[in-house]
Amino acid sequence: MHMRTAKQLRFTIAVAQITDTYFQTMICGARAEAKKLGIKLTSQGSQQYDPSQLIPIVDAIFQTKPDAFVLAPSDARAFVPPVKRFLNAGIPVAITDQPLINDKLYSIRSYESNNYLHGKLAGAAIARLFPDPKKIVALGIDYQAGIVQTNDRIRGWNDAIRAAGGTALKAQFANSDPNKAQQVVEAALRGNPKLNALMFIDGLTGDGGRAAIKVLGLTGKVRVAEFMGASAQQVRALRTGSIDALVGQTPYLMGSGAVKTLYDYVTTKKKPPYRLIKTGALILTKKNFDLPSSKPYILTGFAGCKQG
Amino acid sequence: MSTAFVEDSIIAFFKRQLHATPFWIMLFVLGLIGFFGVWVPRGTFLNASNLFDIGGNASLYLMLAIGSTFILGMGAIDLSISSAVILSSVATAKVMVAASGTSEQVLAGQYPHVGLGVALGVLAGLGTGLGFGLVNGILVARLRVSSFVITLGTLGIGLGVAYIWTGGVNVGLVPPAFQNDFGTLRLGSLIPVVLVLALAMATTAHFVLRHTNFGLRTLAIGSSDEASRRSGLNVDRHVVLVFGLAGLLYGAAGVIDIGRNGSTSLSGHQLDSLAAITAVVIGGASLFGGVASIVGATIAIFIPPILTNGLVQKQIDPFYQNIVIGIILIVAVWIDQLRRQPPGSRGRRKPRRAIPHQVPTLTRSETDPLRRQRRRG
Repeated sequence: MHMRTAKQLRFTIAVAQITDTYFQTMICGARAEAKKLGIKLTSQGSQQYDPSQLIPIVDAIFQTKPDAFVLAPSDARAFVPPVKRFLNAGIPVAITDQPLINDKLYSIRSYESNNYLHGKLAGAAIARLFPDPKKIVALGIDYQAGIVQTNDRIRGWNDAIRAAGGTALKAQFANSDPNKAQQVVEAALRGNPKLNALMFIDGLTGDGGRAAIKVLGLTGKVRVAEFMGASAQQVRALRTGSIDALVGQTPYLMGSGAVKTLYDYVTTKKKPPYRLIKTGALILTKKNFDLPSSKPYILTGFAGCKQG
Repeated sequence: MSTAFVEDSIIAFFKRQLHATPFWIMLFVLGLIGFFGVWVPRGTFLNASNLFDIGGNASLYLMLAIGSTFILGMGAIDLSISSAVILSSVATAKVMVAASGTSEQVLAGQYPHVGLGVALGVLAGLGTGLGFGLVNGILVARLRVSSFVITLGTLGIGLGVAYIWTGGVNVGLVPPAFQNDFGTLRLGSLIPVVLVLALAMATTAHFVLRHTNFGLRTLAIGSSDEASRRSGLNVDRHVVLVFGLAGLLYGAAGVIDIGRNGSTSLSGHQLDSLAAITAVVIGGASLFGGVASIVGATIAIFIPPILTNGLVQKQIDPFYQNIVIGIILIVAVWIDQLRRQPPGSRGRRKPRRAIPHQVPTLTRSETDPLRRQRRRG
């Protein structure tokens, strides 16, 4: 039991894209921790991954003067001035998913998803499935130009494939749109019969990509890696063998960790030394998916926690 | 001048307002502010700091709405706004970074020629917007293809050019001074500089649209392209100029975007065209041209940020905001349309010839577009 303070603490979390299961899972983690600590937590986020949508939301949150603030920013630079205002008003801030420029000046704790490394893990996992990695011809389907997180996933994937001796083709973009992904992947597979390994930056892209593989009768012949998130079908696809490696990241732990750190600071008034924590990932496969140790790496979205 | 005369003209002024869309939109916005002021606890909504936050966040969109007011008033439409903004912001950032110092200096956070860099960057952004608009205008005027199609095309082309130019990576490393001393600067730590800038543009634009030949011609073309041509107006030239002017405003918005964010946002701005057009239409413009109001658009552009701010403070799911704005758009235009019907026809069913898309033209005088323009204060 924690001590019952005279006034209930109010925390707020704002995320870069509230429609994405990745960020929803982050909110779930924050909610679970807040519930445990008796904090009233409110959650917000922009519908598109667009700083000009999120900044007005952050400004409005500032006016409500919460006791602490967790932000998953959609740009490393744009959120420096809005976050500075919290700091000047004595409201501590923790940053999740990607650090801001000169983060340590503004935040007491930052969490960074090491997308490059996680992309590399995916590439290495797929490369291990090939007896002769030199024969790998790999393609990554990205979200959109200019999104550092997904661009890094593809960069890591390409580097791992090349390190194993395979060929990595120039990435294509599908905007997380299953229809677009299907078109792109179908065209790529038809145009390049040697293509035998694909990586999708999220589940919606994967849904379309896997459909294309199925249409062309290449299921099982083309190896598939995906980042977990944004699709309800991924788990089934993993179990039935249409996905070989699913990258599970840990937004849940970022959300809960940020709330815990802020709570400790607010209640003890002892400022912890700034730390940037690069969170890990686990390659989920048919074999390890149901192990209890895999659970923190599985994205649930809001389905995994009660809204409110 | 007798006192009675002054009183009469004041009364006349207010009587006129009752028939003006901006007046009603203004009442609605004030009502919205009052509503959130009461509804949001602890007075965190209704205070100067918050209202100026909202103003700062609306500034960029206000510039877009001003441009769109001219375009819609001319009977055209511009769907390429987001690309114009993104391309201008890329130009601003690229030139600003390149002119501020060598790439080693910039990487080390040093900007020896920051003044020159900022000046050239701003010019590049404005120039790119202007150029983008002129291209739109020339294509519309020369090819005689509808502006809907032309700007749908340039929407894709502009974004493609921006992606190729940047290699798909957001341009960062813009001198922080530009963000701190301009984009996010607040006069007296309260009033955002960008808001002052946007309101100055709106005031100028209002004057241009209402009191100059340029504005008169714009609305004349919107009323009847054909009649304007026959009366000897160089319509093609004017179309190019109006698209150029709108492009210049989008360029300014691109510069503001860099100022506020300190980097480009290639994935952002996707719904900017629709946001601008929505505000212009709520503000009393006709989608079929000839009727447009800078004042109305200026007031209407504040509705979405007010809703966002209020709903966030009230901790209501942001998804509801889309629904609320959609309803406001339809209801505002519907009421506006009812009001514009001649008094005699109110309450009666209109003759069948009034097919829905012609309704906005019903109250117009078909013969004298310029007279009508003057009537709408």
